[in-house]
Amino acid sequence: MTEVFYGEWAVAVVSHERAYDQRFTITGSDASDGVYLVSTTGSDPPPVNVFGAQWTLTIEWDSPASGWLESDVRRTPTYTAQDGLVINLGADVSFEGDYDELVLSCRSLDPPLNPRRPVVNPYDFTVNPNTIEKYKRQHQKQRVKK
Amino acid sequence: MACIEVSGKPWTRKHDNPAVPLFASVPVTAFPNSLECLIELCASHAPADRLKAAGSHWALSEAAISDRTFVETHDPTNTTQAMGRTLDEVVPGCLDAAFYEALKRRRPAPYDREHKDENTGLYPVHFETGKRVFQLYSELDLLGDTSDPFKGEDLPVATLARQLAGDGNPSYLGPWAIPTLGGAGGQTVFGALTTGTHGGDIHMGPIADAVMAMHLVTDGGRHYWIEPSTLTSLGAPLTDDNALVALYGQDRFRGNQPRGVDNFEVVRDDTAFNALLVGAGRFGIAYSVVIGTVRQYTLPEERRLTNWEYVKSMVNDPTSSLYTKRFLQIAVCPTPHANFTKHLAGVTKRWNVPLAPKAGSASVPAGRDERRGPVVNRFDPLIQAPRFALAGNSHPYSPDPAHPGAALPPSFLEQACMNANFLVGVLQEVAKEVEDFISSNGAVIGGTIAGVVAAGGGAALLALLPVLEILLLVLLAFIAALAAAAPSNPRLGQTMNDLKDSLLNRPDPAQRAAGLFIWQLIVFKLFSSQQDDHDYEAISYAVMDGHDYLDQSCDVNGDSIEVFFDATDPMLIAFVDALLVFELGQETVGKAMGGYISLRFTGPTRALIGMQQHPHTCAVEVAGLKDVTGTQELIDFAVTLALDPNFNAVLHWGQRNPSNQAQVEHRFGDTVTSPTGNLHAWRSALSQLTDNGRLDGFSSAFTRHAGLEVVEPLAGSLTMAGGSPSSQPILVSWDCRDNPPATTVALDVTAPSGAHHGFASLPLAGQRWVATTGTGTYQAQLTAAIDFNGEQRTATTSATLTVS
Repeated sequence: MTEVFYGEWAVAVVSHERAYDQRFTITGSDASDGVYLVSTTGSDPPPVNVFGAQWTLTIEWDSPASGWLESDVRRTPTYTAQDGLVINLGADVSFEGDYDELVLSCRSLDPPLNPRRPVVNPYDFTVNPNTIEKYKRQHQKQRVKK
Repeated sequence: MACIEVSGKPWTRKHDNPAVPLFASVPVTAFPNSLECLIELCASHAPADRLKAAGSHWALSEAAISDRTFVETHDPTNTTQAMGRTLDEVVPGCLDAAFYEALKRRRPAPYDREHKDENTGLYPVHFETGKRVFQLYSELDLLGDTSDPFKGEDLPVATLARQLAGDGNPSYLGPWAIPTLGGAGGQTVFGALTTGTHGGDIHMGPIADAVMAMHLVTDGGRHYWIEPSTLTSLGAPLTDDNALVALYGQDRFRGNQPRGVDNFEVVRDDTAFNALLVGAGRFGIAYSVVIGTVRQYTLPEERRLTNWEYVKSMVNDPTSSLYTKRFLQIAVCPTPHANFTKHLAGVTKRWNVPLAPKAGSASVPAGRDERRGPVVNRFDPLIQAPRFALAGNSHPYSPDPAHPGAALPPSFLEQACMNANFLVGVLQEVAKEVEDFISSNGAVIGGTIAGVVAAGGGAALLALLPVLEILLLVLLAFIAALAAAAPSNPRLGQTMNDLKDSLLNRPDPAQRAAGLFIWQLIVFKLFSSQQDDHDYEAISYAVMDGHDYLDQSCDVNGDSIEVFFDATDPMLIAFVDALLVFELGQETVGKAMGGYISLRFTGPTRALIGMQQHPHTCAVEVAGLKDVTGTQELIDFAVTLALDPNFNAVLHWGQRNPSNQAQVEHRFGDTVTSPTGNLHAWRSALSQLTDNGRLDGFSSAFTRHAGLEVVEPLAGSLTMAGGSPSSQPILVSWDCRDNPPATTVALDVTAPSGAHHGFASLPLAGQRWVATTGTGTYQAQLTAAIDFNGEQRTATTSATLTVS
C-alpha cells in the first residue's frame, strides 16, 4: 500500500526482520526520491529528511519465489511532547498481521504542526507515596461513613 | 408585499464580544415575514446588491455574513417579526395521496410508561425557517399534552394529526419530537441543519437527515419545492406536484414572471436535495422546510468521570464498550493532572427508555415543566407561534439524584454564570487544601491535590512549599477581590484570565511552578464538578438541549471549532493528543485554554458536503473563552492541524471555518484534474439552480474563499452564418451568459488556409464579423474560462461553416 505524506518529514528505520531483504521507495519528493534498501546483512539506510508538497512511500519485501512484492502497511500516528507528530509505518508480509517486519518512523518536521517541540516540562508534581496512601485510607473511611 | 429594510444597523453574532459588534453598521438589513416578501426581495435586488440569510446568529462561521444585504429570518434582538410560522398548507394540504394513506395505516406507539422504541413513527412538520429549535420541540411536545389547558390541538402543527384522527386514526394525537438535537436549541432549525449541526447519536446522521423537503427562493425570485427523487420510507413521495403548483403557482408568488406558475418549480432530485441540505446559504434563502419527526421519547443520561488516557484506546474501535448506547460524548480537560500524565474525561451515554414521570405524577414527563413550561401566549406575533414560559428561557434541566423525576434549582455553576463570582467557592476550597498542604509540611493532601499529583519522590513539591505560601496569598487576595466585586463585574472569561495571569505569568521559575500547581488544582476542581458521575432521565429535549439560556457571563466572547474525523482513523487520537501537548507547553509559559475539548459521535449524513462523511464520524469540538489568553492560540493550532492534509479533517460549516477552496476540494473532491466527488455534485446542483452561476446574488466572501461556487464554465451556443457569396464576411455569434459574471470568453476562427483570427476578452454574448479569405471550411472555437482562487477551468465548443 502506498502511503501519502504532505510536507517535511524525517524517515528512519526503527526495526526490521532479517529473514529477507526489504526496501522502501520514496517518490514525488523535492530531493529524496529513491529506493532505500533494508537488507538482511548490511547496515540500515541512514535517516532521510523528505521534503515536498505531496510525496509517497511504498514498502516492499523480496519474496524468494516472486521477487519484490508490496507489503501491507499499518499507520500508527502518535503525538507526544518529546517527538511531536510521528507516524510509524509497520509493514506486514504473508498476512501475519503483526506489522513488524519493517517499522519506519516518520517524524513531522513542519513547524506549524509541532510549534513547541519538544515540549519541556521542568516540573515534578509528586508526593510521597505514603501521603497518597494516607489520603486514600481517610477518603475510604469517609465514604464508608456516608 | 415588501420586506422591512433598514440601513446602518450593527450586525454581530451571539458568541462575539458583546462590547464590540462584528460590524458596527451594515448597508441593509432585511426582515422577511412571508414568502411573497422573500420572493420580492430576491427578485428586485440590484445585481451588485448581494444577499445572505442568517438565523438567530448562533453560528461562529462567516457563512451568514453578506456582501451587502443581511436577511434576518429571526431577528436576534427579538424586536421584529420572525419568519416563524408552522404551516399547514402543504402538510397535510398537499400531501401525496399514497403517502397519506400509508400514514393512516400506521399506528405509532404512544409516549407512555410502556413503550421505549427509538424513532417510532413518522410525523412530517412544515415550518418557516426562522423558527428556533426550542420553539419547534416545544410545539411538537404540546400535541396531546393533557396537562396544558391549551393542548395545542388547534395549532397548525396538529392539523395533520387531527385530519388523521378524523379519518379513523387518532394515534398521531400525541407528542412528537425531533429525532436528534445538538447540545443547544437557540439556533433556528434551518440554520442548525444547513450548517451540518449534529448531536451525539452514534447511529444517526445530523439534524439535516431528518429533512423531507425544502422550499427555496433563489436569486431572481424564482422559487423551488425540493424533495429527493428517492421515495420516503413510506414508499411514496411526500407531496403531490399538482397540489404544490396550485398552491405556490398563484400569481401573488410570480416575482418577475408574468404568472405565478412561471415562477415556481417542483424539483425531485436527490443531488439537488442533498446539496441544498448543507448549502452554506449559497443557493438562496430557504423559506420553509419539512422535517420528519418521531414519537416523543425519554432519554436517561449516564456520565462517568474517568481520564482520556484510559478511554482513548477504545475510541477507534466501534465495537468497544464505549459504543454500547445510542449517544456518546467524551469531554476532555485540556489541563493535565496526575503529575502531567493524565487528563480528566467525562464519558456521557444516553439511550431510550419508557416515559419517566416527574415526581408526584404518573404521566407528565420529567423535564417538561422545567424546560418547556406552559403556554403563556397562545399567539405571539413576534414569533408567529405560541410562546412557552421556559422554552429558550431557562437553565438546563438539573435532576435531583435524591428524588428521581424532580429537578434541583439551578446549579451552583448555572447560577454563578449570571456573574463571575461562582469561582469564589471553588477557589476557596482549593485555597483550603493548599493551606493544609503547606501547614502540614506536605503530609496532608485533599482530594484535589490527590488528583493533581502522583506518587513519587516528592522532593520538588516539598521544595516549593515556601513559594506556594506566597502564591496562596495571591490566591486569597484574588478571592477577596472577586467576592467583593459588584454583580456587574467582568465576564467569566476576563476573571479566568486575571486568575491565570496572577498564577502563571510570574517571572520567578519557582513561583511559576507553584502557580501552575495551583492552576491545575483549580481546573481539576472545576472540571470534576462539571463532569462528575451522574445518572438521570427526562424528556428528550430536557436531556439533549443543555444550553443555559439565562447565562450572561459564561457563554459570551467565545470561539470554537469542530473538527470531523472518521472515528476509526488513528489520526483522530493524534489530533486530540496534539492539543493536549500544546496546552501543556503553553501552560508553562503563562497561557492556558479557558475551555474544553469534546468528542461526539454520529452516523453518516446524506448531505453532499456535510461533515459526517463516514459510517462512524467523530466530531471534536474545541471551544473556549477568548478573554483567556491561550484559548485563541489552542484553537488556532487546532485549525492548523485540521486543515493540514496529513490530518485531512473536515471543519464544521457553522463554527470557525477558514477552509480555502483547495482544502475543501481536497476533502470533498472536484479538483481541476479530477472533477468528481461530492463537491462536484454539489456544484452541479448549484449550477442547475443558478443558471450555472449567472445568478450570483448569494455569493459571499465566505463561499468564494471556500470555493462553494460554480467553477466550471459552460461554453454556451456558437453559430456561424454568412460567407455567401464567398466574398462576404462570416458572422460568428455566441451566448455564454449562463456563467458567472467574471467568466472570460475567447474566440478563435480558423480559415481553410490555416490562418487564425483570434478574439480575446469578449463579452459573454455577442457577434463578430470575420472576413473570408477564400472558399472551404471555416472553423470557430469558443472558449469560456473561469479563473477562480488560482485554478482555471475551461469549456470549449466549436462550429463550422463551409464557404463555396
